[in-house]
Amino acid sequence: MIVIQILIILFIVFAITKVGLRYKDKIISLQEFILWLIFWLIVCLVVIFPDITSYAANLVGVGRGVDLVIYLALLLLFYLVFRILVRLDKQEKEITKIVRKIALDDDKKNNL
Amino acid sequence: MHLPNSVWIIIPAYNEQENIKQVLKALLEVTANIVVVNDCSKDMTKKYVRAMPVTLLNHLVNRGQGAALQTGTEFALKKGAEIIVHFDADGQMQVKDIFKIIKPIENQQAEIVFGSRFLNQDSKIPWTKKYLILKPAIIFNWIFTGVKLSDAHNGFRALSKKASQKIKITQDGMAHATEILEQTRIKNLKYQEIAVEIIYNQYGQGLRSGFKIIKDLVFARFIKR
Repeated sequence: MIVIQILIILFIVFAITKVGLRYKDKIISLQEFILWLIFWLIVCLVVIFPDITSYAANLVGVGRGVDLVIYLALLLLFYLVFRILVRLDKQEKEITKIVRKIALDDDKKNNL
Repeated sequence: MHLPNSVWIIIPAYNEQENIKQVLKALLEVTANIVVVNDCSKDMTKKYVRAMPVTLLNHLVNRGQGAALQTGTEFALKKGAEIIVHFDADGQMQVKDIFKIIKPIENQQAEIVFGSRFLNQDSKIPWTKKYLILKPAIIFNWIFTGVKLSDAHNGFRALSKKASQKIKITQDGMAHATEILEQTRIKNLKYQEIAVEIIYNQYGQGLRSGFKIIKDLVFARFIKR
């Protein structure tokens, strides 16, 4: 096993314990916990047996396994960034709503 | 001359200590229905406004000009406003133009009236602002909203009660000006342009601000369909 593999596996162990703690504190649901667990286990599998990706890459017509992983990772990242932006936008709107309500309510109070 | 009692003036203010006092003094000559929405200014704006006989609403956190206008609008509507005028705190707009801009609404010729710097040669606009920012903005607005005006992103406008109830500003930043145009078309509101005089004492929004507006608008469209 090469060094990078050990490092990544250590990171995965770290990530899984984090996910587990989140689940224990009821911040994420059981479904989310299982999804993350499966995700990290797949990553683990790929790290230990990198040849799996070559096999999958050949299946979909991409030359190298590593390339396929990078393509998928990029797609996932773009998707997550988009989701975060949407959520951020929603939160901004909600903050505005709260700030507006406070501004209007304060005025009412002052005029009583 | 006095404005009718059903007219409310809304002034979004963010760090406007330089001019806000004079602006309010000039406005108080014609009406008492003035709402200043202090958008969490970091200077003396709040203190200056509080000392004057106008309504002061305070945003706890800075939310942008669009958000401030919407706050003021909701307040004025609750007070029974029939006509709402958007006015700037920077002292560049002329109080006398308010009478002109509400005329079409009073005469029921329009639901929303936009002030224009280009209808005649009233305003002296820095030429870089005119050709590099305003003209492209006019074309952008036309393509984006389908409403063709002779001016863009000019904060001077008047809305009837009906129009201000129908147009809900959700663009907190500067993109609200384009959003109002878009809503004017979608809600099928009758609009008019009136020549107003803008006296430049500062440059206002530059190119960067323009790009931010486009980004806000494109993003909003992207996530809402």
